[in-house]
Amino acid sequence: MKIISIQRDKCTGCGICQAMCAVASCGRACPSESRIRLRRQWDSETPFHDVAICRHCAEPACLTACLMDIISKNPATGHVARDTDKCFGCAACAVMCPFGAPVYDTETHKMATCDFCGGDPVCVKVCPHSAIKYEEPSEAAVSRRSRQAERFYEVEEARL
Amino acid sequence: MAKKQITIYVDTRRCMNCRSCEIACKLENNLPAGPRYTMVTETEYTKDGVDKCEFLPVPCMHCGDAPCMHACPTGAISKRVKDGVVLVNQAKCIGCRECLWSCPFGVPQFGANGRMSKCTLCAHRLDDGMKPACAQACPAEAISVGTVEEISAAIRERYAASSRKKIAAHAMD
Amino acid sequence: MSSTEKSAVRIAVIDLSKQRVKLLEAVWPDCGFGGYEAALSVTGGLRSRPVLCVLTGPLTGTGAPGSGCYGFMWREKTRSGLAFTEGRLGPMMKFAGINHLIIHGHAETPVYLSVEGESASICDAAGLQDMDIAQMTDFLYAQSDYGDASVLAFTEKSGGVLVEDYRFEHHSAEIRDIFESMNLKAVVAGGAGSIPIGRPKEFLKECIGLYSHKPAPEKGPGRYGDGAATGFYLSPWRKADGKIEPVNITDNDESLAPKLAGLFWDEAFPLPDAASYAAKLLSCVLSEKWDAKKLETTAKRIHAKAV
Repeated sequence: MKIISIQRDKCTGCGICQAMCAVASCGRACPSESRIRLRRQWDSETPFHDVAICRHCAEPACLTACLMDIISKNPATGHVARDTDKCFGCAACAVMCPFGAPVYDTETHKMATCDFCGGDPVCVKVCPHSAIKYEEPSEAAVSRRSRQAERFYEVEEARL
Repeated sequence: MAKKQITIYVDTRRCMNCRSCEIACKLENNLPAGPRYTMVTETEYTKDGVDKCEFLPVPCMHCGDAPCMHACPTGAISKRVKDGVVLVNQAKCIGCRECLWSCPFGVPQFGANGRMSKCTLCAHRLDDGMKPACAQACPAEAISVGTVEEISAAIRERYAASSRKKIAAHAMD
Repeated sequence: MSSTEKSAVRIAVIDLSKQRVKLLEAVWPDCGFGGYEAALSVTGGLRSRPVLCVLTGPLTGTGAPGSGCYGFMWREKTRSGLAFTEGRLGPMMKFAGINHLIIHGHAETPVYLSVEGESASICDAAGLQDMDIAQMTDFLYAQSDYGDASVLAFTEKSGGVLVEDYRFEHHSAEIRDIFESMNLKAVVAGGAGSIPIGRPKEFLKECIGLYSHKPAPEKGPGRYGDGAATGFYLSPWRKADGKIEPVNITDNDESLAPKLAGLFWDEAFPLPDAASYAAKLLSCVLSEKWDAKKLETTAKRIHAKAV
């Protein structure tokens, strides 16, 4: 199952993913309602900027938390989906999510999470550092190991 | 860091990309197609005008201060007290993949059930006094597993032995 | 901006001497382009007093490549200037609901400006006197209700340079001097508002096309932009040394038009006609027909009046 994978050491915290996701999901520039939200870490001890985005967990905390039982996991794709019709915005999902991924959409008045833009994620296309990929976890693991090998051999250009 | 932190050392000069370690690991852990606990990487690059292709096995390093352990929101990852082997408790794992994003080596693997599994340094073999499957299988004897002190001593001895050889050869001139 | 009117523009006129903030609402395009015309008309009668304007373009903050740009305009007794800079302050101001700041007068005690909740307020900065830039930024972030606010501040203790968001130095002595002469220590902006986009689908398509033009291969790892080869995105963090240079307008400035739109086009940007791309994006955001020629004529007109 393909998921959004973020190469943290490439992320510069520029926020383009956030800005463009908002335009794609909400039709206006509203980064606070974006399905991918940046958490800039300013101190030098944290080596990366973090991102709040739905991880489509194998055992989603939001699924158990939802009072209206509208969150489900597609057995074929593994993607976590929500049937928003019945959502009344209680934000239990956001509270239980370890990553704070669900966001309140002020126009639909419902909670929303990343749905991969229907299979062609916009954030992947606009990240200037190619830090975001839409790939299988196994591919993500392989590319990280190769990157480690490149660091080891001091290869200058990232081949990802 | 555990008192006797165990570590894996790969002598990169010896690796020839035979991948016996990968196969032995899969067999030992009964892994289906997909998860690869240890991986041999191929890196092609050019340095000073010379094209190179290097093979580097990238196993789980069982880090002293494991980022995967810190990243896990449910505390499913822990270090064994006696030797610091990093293990995952699948019952607690929610399959969020946060450990994969935190691991600089890309070690965590995700199988069909979506939960994380990874190299255990063949803890069951270590407990029986045996080497991990990859170290056992490597035909070039490139992989060694031991405490940090043991590995450090072994590397120094190897260096000293090669220096002795060089000195002896020089004395023959 | 929570306003449903897609052309509404909010200008905060701040009188530091009288400790008063006045909010003006204007409608695009009556208020002019990028706030310059509105600023000029408001500051017309204030020629003898120092004036500092922080102005955003129509594309600032929308997410378009380079939309991290915003502008400063200042006037003093003997000098005036117009400069563009990259930075998060401009976009944050827009998300806080304010398009332009026109600051004039002189505060008796040190103050800072807080821009949030569709308004601006003058706050006491007495306690910040002995802080260095990191402490001051920390303090000001904590004061803001919004977690991702932007702080532009300067402290004598840190060498008297204007620093945005901890690290990015604005190397304009003139702008810093005006801050100092007004007894203004910092500007903090942050909000969860939104910027309306007239034709979002086309806008998205244009932006994706532009973002895919990466002028150089990625070098990594690079946190804070020290590996980034491209400069044309929302982030101010493209420069390896972390310095933001406000670019002053010269008579022969060819890239004035896109800068005015709120885009800062890097010299390395490969497209031959930055103004036409800015115009295309403007047309999507404002749902009005803009082309490169109209943009360039507007830019020249403003330039002639402003400096």
